[in-house]
Amino acid sequence: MGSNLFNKIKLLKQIKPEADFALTSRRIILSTTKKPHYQILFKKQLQQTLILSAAMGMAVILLLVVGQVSSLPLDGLSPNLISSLNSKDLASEQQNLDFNIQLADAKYYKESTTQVTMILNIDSDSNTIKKQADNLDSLIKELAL
Amino acid sequence: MLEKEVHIIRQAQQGNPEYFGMLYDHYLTPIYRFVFLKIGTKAETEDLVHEIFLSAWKNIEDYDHLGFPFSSWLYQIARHKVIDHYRTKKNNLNIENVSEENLKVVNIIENELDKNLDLNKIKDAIKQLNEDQQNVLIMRFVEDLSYEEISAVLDKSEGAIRLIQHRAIQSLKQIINKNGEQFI
Repeated sequence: MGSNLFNKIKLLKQIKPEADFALTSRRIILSTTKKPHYQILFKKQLQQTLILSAAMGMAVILLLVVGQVSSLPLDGLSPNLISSLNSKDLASEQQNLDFNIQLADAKYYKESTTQVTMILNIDSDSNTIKKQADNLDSLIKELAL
Repeated sequence: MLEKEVHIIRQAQQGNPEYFGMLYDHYLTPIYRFVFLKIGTKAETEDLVHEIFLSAWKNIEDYDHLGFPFSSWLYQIARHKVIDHYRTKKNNLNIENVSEENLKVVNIIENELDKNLDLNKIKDAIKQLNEDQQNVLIMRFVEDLSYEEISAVLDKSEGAIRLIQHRAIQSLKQIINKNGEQFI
């Protein structure tokens, strides 16, 4: 089945250009004047030179960049930046941060406790007043009777 | 591949038209067939083939022999010319005229071979494949190019070419079976 298909495809090999077309086209193409050979050579040489120059330029830039990075004066940099590179300093900074956070927490708990106590006192006071008012109401009702 | 092809190409690159003529004679038919199977009309195929060889003659200095035959380079030019042709083609083509012309060309071939051969069906089925599948099928089975050569022309890996070929055959079978062809 498949080979039958391939055989049919192979028949397309029989497609050929007409002899008249082949001759006419050939004659026209070969009579077309080409650029002189020295011009073509010059163009090729120019292209190669440009590519080589570009590659050399890139290499020089890369060398300059790499050379400058390795010779950077690190001593002249900001002290904060340098300390950030030291692991001991980083550890002490972290401890300071933890301590500050704990102080802040303690302050918050202290303040909030006071505030809660005050609110509870107010609430208890209001309960007492309410009870007294109720007693007064009952007394008034008794008197009225 | 043409005998002493590298030498012939070098001579042609130095501007010797006789040597380019040898290349033209050798590669005209496969390039014509490749373009005809993708374009489908004789007149347009002739115009394009003429342009392809003219372009090859003018730019033959740019061809670098990297182990691949000259045909790979020509197929690349042909492929781009066909793409450009479809890209710039105006929508003024009379479909009836095209069909007539197709029949005329293929009928000549049919008469020479066998009345029963239905080349039009195969040709039309191939035209329904996508561009890559068409290219691979024509180059592999009509022009007998190697996977290496096809991969150089289409700028794809050999594995990709094999995959495209497999899909092309499957699609072609489906198209022909759909059209009620019995021999598949």
